[in-house]
Amino acid sequence: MRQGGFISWERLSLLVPVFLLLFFAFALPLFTIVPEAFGGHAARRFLRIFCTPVYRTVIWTTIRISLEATALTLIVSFPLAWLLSRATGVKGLLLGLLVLVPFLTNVLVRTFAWLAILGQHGLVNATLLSLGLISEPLPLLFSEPAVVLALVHSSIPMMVFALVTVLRRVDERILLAARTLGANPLRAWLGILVPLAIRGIQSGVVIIFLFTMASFVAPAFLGSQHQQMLAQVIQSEIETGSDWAFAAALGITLAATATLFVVAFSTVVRWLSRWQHPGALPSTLPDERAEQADKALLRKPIALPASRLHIPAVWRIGARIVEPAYLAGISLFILVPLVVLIPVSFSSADVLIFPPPGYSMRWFETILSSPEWIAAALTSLRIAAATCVLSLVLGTLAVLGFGRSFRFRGAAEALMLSPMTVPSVVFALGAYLAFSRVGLVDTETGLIVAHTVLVFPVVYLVASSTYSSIDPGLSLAAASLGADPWRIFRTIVFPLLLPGLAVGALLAMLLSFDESVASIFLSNLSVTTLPRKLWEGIRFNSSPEPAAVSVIMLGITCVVIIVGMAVVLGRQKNALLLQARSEPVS
Amino acid sequence: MTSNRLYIGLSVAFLTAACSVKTAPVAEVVVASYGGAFQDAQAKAFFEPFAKSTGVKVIGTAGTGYAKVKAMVGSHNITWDVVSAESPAFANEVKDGLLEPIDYSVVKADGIPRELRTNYGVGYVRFAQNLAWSKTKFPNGVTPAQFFDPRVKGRRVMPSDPTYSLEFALLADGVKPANLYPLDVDRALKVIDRVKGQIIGYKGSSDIQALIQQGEVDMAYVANGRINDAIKAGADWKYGWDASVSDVEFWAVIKGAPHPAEAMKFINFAVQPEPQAELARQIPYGPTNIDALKLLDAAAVRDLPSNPDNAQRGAIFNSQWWNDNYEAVKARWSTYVMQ
Repeated sequence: MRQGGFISWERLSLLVPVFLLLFFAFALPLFTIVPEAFGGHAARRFLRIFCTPVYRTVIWTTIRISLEATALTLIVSFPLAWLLSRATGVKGLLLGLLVLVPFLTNVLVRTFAWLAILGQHGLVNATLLSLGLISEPLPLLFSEPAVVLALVHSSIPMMVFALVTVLRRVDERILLAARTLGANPLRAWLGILVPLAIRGIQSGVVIIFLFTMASFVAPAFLGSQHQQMLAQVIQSEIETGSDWAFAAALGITLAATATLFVVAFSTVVRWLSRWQHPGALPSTLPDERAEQADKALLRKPIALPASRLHIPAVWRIGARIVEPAYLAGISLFILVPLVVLIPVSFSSADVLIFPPPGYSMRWFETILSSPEWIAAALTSLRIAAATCVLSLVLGTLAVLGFGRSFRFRGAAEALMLSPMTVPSVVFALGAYLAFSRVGLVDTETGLIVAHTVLVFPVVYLVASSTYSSIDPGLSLAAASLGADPWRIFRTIVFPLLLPGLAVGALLAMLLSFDESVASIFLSNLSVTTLPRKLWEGIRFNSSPEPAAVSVIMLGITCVVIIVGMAVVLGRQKNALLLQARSEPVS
Repeated sequence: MTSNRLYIGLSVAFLTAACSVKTAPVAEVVVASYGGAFQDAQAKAFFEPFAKSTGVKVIGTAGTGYAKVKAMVGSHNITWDVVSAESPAFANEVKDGLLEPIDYSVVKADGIPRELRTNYGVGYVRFAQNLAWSKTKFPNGVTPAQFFDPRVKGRRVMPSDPTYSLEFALLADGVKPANLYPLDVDRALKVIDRVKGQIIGYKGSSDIQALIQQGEVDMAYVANGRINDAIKAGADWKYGWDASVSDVEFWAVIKGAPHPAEAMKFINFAVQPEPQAELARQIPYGPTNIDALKLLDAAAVRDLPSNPDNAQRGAIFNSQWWNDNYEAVKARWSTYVMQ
C-alpha cells in the first residue's frame, strides 16, 4: 500500500507461523471430524437442525443468553476496568486480585456456589426471609437470569483485562476538559471514554461472546430445560450419542452463528473506530461544516450560569457516592461465591454440601499429601507456561503481521478467531483423532499445541487492541530518524505493547490451567492435568476437592500477584515520577 | 494424504522427545474407568488384590466412554486394555465392533447370571435408579404413583435423559416390568405431563445429588449410589425399590488391546465372589456374582440392587431396546422437555 510491495511481504511473513499452527493444529484436526457432518445425508442433517423447533429454539436461546451476558458483562466491567487502569499502589493490587477471583475458582465449585446462594434455602432467600421481606422463597434458580448471572460473573476478568490495556492509554485530563466544557460525567464517559476504548470493547465483547456461546456447565446446572444452550446439546450428543455426524453438524452451526455475529460486530466497531482517529474525519469540506455549526449557544449566554450553579454540585455529591457504592456492589458480586467456596473447602463431609456439617483440613491434606494431585498441578503448570510463551509469540507475530491496515483484515481475523468459535468438544475430538496419527496424544506436547490453538486468539485480541492504541507517529518518527524495523520494534512498539502482552500472558496461563475439555480427550495415562483430575471424580462423587484446590490456587495467586504487581507498580511509579519531573506541574 | 505426511514430518522432533523414555515390557494391564470414589473402590477391590496375587501391574485410568473408545479404536492408537462400560455405551461399542470377544476359557464365573456373560463383555456391577423423597416433607413416604400425582405437591427432579425416566413413568402408571419393553413412549410422556409443572428440572446425576443435599427438591428419581451418598452426608431422605430400574456395568476388552491375555485374567479376577463382595463393601453398588451376596452381611445386602427382593419390585434396563430406539426417542424427549 503506502510503502509498496516489499514491506507488505515482510509483514505477511510474520503471519506464516500463525497460519501454520492454525492449519496443522486446528484445521487438519477439524478435517478429521467435520466432513462427517457433510457425509451421507448432509442436507437432511442440517434440515433437521433448522427445521426442528427444538434446535431452532436452542440456537435462538444460545444467541440471546450470550448477547445478554456479554452486554451485562461490558456494562458491569467497564467502570471496574477504568478504576483498575487508574489505580496505583494498594488499591491497584486489591482491584487486580478482585478481578482475578472468578478465574481462580474452579467452574464446578463456582456453579455449586450459585446453587447454595440462589436456591430455595440459599443465602439470598434465607436473608430475605429472615428480614421478613418475603414469605415464600423466590424461585431464583433454574431460570435464565441465574444462568446469565453465573456467566457474567465468570466473564468479568477477561472483559476487565481486555479493556484495561486500552483504558490505561487514555489521558485522564480529557475528562477534566470535558467537565470544564460542561459535560456531566455520564456524557463525558459515553462521549469520550467509550469511543477511546472502542478497540478494547471490541476485543472484550468478542472474547466474552464466544466464551459464553461455548459454555455448558452453568447452563446445564443453573438453567431450566427451557433454556438449553447449543454447546450443552453438542457436549451430550458427543458423549452419549452415537451420531457424531449430527454433533459435528451442530458444531458447525454454532461456529457459523458465532462467526456471523463476531464479523457483524467487528464491522460495526471498525466503522465506529473512526472515533479514535478524529483527525481523519473531516474529509468532507470543513468550511461547509463551519457554516452549519450551531451558533445558537452563543446567543443565549444567560441560561448557562443557572445550570452551572447546582448541577455540578449534585454531580459532585453523586460522584462521591457512586464510586464507593459501585465498588462495594461489584466486589460483593465477585466475592459472594467465596462465602460458599471457602467453608466448603474446609468441609468434613465426603460431598459438596453447604453449609458443611463440620469442618476439617482433610481435603487439603488429601490434595497436598497426594503425589498424584501434586504431579497433576505441576503438569498443568508446565503446560500453562509453555502455552503462555507460545501464545505470546504467536499473538505478537499476528499483531505485527496484521499491522494497522490489512486488506482482508475482517476475513483474516475471523480465521484467527475460529478456534474460539468451534465448540471445544468438537475440536477436542478432532484433535484426538488427528494427533493420535502422529503420536501426540497423551503427551504434554500435544496438550500444549491444543491449548495454544485455543488460547492464542485471546492473546491476539488483547494485544491487538493495545497495539491499536499506540500512536503510529512514534514508529514513523523513529523510522525517519534512521531506526530499522527491528530497532523500532525493540525500543518503541514492544515496550508500549508490553502491558497488553502481560495481560495476554496472564490470561493464557489461567485459561490453559483451567482448560478441561481438550485435556480430557488428549491426556490419558502419562499426562494428567489438574482440571482433568477434578472432572474425573464428578461422575460418581462430587467431593469438596475442587473447592480445596480453588482455595489453594487463590492463596498461591494472592502471593504471586502481590509480588508481581508490586514489581510492576514500582516500575510504573518510577515512570510516573520521571514524567512528573519532565512536565511542569499542572 | 500428503498433508498427513507433512504433519508427521513436522512432528518428528516432538515425537522423538516424547517417546524416548518407554518402559521395559513388564506384565501390565490398563483399566479405564470413571475416576473418583468409584474408581477408588475398584482399586481397593480389584486392582490392588489382582496385582498382589498375579504380579501383573494394574494401571488405572479414567475417562472411559463410548466417544473415547470409538476415537481410540478409530485412531489405531490403543493404549487401554479393559474398559468399564455402562450398558448403552457397551451396546454401542458392540454394534460398532470396538471390542474383543471375551475368552471364556479364561473367564470362569458361574455365579454371574448367564445373560450377563455376553460375547463381548461381562456384567460386573449392578446399579439402580430409585425413587427417593425427603422424610421431612413426606414422613409417610412417596409411592411411584404419587410422584406422578399432581395433587401431591412437591418439587420434583428427573434425570436429564429419557433413559430411566420413561421406564419410571410407565412402571408408576402400573405397567408390569415384564411388559415394559418396547416402551410406550406416548403413554410415558402423558404420565410425566401430569406433574410437568412441578418438575423443577431434568438434571445429571451429580446435579441431582447436589439438589437433594441442598434441600432444593422434595422428590427425585436418582441413582442408588448417589442417594446413599446424600443420606450418608446428612440428607434426611429415604428411597424405595418400587419402580426402580436396574442396569449393569460391563467389563470389556478394547479391540487391539496391547495386553489381551492380562486383560482376560483381570476380568476373570474381578468377577469372582470375593472381589465382587469387596466392591460392595467399598461402595453401595451390587455385585452381579450371586455367590458374592453370601459373603456380605444381611444389612448390607438389603440396600443392594442385586438383592432379589429389591430387584423384583422394579425392572431391568433393556439396553438393546434403547440402542435401537435411542436417537428417535431422544429427539422426542428433548422436544417434550423444552416445551
